[in-house]
Amino acid sequence: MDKLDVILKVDSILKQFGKITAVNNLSFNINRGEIFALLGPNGAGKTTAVRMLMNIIKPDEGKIEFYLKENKSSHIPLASELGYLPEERGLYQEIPIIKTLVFMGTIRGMEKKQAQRSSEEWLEKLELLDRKNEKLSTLSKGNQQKVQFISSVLHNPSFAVLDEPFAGFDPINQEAFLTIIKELRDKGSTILLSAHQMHLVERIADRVLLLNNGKNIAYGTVDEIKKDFSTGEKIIIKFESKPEISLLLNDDAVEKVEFINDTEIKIFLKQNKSLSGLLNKAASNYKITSVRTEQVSLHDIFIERISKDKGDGNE
Amino acid sequence: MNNGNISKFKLTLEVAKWEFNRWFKLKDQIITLLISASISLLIFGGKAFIDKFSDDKVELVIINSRVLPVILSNESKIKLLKKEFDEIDEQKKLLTGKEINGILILYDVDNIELIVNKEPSWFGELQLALTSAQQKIKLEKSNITPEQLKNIFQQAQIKMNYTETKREGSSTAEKVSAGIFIGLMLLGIFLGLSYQFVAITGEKQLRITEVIASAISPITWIDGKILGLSLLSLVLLVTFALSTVVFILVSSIFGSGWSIPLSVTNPLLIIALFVISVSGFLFWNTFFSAIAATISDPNTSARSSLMMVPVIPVVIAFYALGNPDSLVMKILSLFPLTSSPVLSARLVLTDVPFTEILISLVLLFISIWYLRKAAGKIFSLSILMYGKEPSWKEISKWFRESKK
Repeated sequence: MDKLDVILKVDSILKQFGKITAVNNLSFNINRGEIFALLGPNGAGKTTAVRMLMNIIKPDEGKIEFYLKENKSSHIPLASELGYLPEERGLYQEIPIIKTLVFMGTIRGMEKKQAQRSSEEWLEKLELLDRKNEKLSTLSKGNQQKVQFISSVLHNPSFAVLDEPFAGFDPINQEAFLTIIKELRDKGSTILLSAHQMHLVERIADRVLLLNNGKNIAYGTVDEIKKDFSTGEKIIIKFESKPEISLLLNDDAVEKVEFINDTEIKIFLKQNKSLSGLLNKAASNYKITSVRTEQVSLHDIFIERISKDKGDGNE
Repeated sequence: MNNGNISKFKLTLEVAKWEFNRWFKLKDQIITLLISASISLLIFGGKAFIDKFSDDKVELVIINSRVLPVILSNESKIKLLKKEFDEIDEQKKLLTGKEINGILILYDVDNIELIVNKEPSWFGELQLALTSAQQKIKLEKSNITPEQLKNIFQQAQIKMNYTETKREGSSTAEKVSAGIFIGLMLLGIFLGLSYQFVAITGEKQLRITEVIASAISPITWIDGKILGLSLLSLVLLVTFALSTVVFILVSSIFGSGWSIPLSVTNPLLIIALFVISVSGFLFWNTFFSAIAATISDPNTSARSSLMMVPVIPVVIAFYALGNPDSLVMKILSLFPLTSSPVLSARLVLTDVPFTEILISLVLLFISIWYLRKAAGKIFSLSILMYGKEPSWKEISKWFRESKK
């Protein structure tokens, strides 16, 4: 990757809290204009990594370099170029929404008028303009989330970190925010996304970093990660009665089998293996009511990799 | 945090403005002034009204008034009606019918009788007048002139000569003014600290800290808070001082006899008190911003009780009312922990040399500067600690590190 295309370079950062290593020798790059997803289970070190990127806490070791303006590097990023939606949400509850947003804009380097205009534009976009003079506490949780989101992007940042941006939204608003995040990217912002909704991340992320126990366990584009995944396609077979699982596991094409319920199972196929033999075997022993195939999802990869990492750690 | 196109000073001012506007309510200040004027009006105006329209004249019949020259003041409610012994029975009937309030019978100078229906509220005044009349008669009989008597009971006369050019000793009014000022200062400090506690612990509880910490450096943030809330303390102090002035002015209209001593209205003194108050508020707000940042929940934290610490220097300042020029008070007016209230009290009560004021302020500002650095360090490390409060050991370590 050409250095000019890199907006953030993280080189072997380490952070310890007492005897606990929250982030362990983590390295990755984020390219200008991409949506980069940072994934991992609870306690994986995502928030610590994000706080180090935001210069809220300092790494014990390693280097973080931003290339926000052209090819000029900086260890301490310009606040006006950064947007941050933390996982720990919070804004002033008893102050009119517009006042809070204008304050958030001014501490990010905006002029007051500019902050006012941008806040109003965003409020209109998210259908909250008529409530701009109300206190935040009068809004529903979902609408409070929208205001929090606006506070992190109203200054049009070059680099925005959105930690769990879909949390607390209904499916309709989740879809709306997918579009908004894409629009931000299209307007030139680079997005670092941390989320648990894998089906949404999969649709939006250009590249992904999977973190567990503070370490990188998978890194690349969604396609690259899927390619590296040990299984190929996934088939879901519904039987009339409960099948004997050992019969299916003995097949060469099968990587693993999971029961969805008593009569429905999910079979992960090995790479480049045909499923015709498996289907014949299953049909000769049980009555099949339906068969469908699915692509392996990021969710499956996430579960598999974390489980594998835990297994390795236990060995 | 690097804010590039916006200077740290401007950011500090933005935060200061935000903090000030978050808590300042002009309406509340106007209401405070109006309440002060209304209370004064109700108390003193009401008293004047009652005095003017109350019809509680006392009609006292005095029998054989030639024995004692009873003289009552012009404002006295007692009206003396002179009668003779042969009219006593008739007067007693009037007393039973409550048409008069009492009968005073003067048999001779030392033999006096008062007949009333019930315990009289005006007895004290009558007794004073009778005592005074008795003394006058006895003096006349002893051939001692009033001048001679005055000379005997006169206090020792000492002529005061000062080696330094000083003003005369502080008057009661000045002492009261100094006391009021110290009280107001304590109020200002406490209000500032309360806002500081509520602002910082509230932000921690509302989880706002992370958003702001990602935009501005902790030192800029804390500087802005200290400036904004110290300004708020000052404005509140001015409001309370003004309401005290309004109270005194309104009361003086109704003849309370209260006034503001001229020495307290000296512009130089007002400027000096202003500077010292601002410095005091800055000092205590800096100190408490660091403490507040270490508190997760002000309702349960034992550290909330530290808010009582500023009471100590203020109590010490009250001792200055008795002896503002003692060596101890001079030292305490230089010591940063006590200097703002003690120096303020001394300035109202006595003449403080300019060099002492200067040294006191310089020491106070040096302390504020170092305290600010330490507070910034403690603040930056504590502000993101939710749930668990840093130990005193950790705080002391951060404090030491801030000096490096």
